[in-house]
Amino acid sequence: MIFVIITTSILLVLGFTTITISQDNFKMKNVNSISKKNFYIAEALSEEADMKLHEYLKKSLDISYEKLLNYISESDEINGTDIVLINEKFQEFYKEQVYLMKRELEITDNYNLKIIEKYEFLIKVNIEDNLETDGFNMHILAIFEDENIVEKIQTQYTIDLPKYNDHDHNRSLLKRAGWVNFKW
Amino acid sequence: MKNLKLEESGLSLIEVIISIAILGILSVPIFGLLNMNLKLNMQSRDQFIATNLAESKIEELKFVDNKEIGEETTFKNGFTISSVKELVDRKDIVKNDEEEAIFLNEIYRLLVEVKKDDKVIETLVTYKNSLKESD
Repeated sequence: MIFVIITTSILLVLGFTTITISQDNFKMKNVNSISKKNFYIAEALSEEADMKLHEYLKKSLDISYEKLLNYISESDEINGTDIVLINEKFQEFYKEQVYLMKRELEITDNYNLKIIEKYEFLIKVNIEDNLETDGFNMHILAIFEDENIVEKIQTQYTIDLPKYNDHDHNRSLLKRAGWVNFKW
Repeated sequence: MKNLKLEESGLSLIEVIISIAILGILSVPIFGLLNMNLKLNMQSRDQFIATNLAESKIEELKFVDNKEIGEETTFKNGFTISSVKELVDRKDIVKNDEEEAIFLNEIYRLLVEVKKDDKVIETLVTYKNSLKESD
């Protein structure tokens, strides 16, 4: 009888062990599933931020041109033929606009995924001067969290400074330099 | 000789019956555990397959226009994939000097559902922005 009890006890312990392993395996598959769900939302966010960036850069160029024209017409210092000075001023206005764009990009209420689909997320933008090209380095971080799993996608861009007499350079100014996916 | 015979005595019938009874009673939860274990393993396997199928389908959908969307595909292992691509929003962006839209921004929702035995196992959703020139 003692042998029977010992044998069944061992079997029970083994049974509970295997069930624990199976449960952990199941939980891991679920985490994988949630993680993939979050990834696709974060990717969509990153893509929308990319679209907005293109849009804002085009606007920044337009506003910079407008400001430059106003400046030339109002200022006595600058002469319409002084190309170097005009270009410097234009780039100065453009830089101002790019830094203003950071704030615009971070306002999540402007995103369709929030307006239409009611997702809650964060967009963090970091802009720093690129000393080599005299332009900017930009990082856009799209953060989405659901069921305690955070998905972060960071996209890196380089933005070159435009020249005032070049009207068709919006696309070539912006280059996607890298793409990183964080998960934990 | 008589003493030797006494020492060789085995289990009594009552002891054997009680042992079998204990074994019978305890084997019920053990088999229950094994059954649960099998079910969990099958669910895990199905979840893993469904997630991977949904992922490969959604990646495929991101690069096609409308082809193969809305169709249901059934696989040999009993999984069925269905996909939906629907227009969520359409708006004009990037205006020219005359305030006319140059580009049309369309946002699509891509939804992939994987079912097995009419039960939804995995659903993946993503959004795709497309930029078209306005007419």
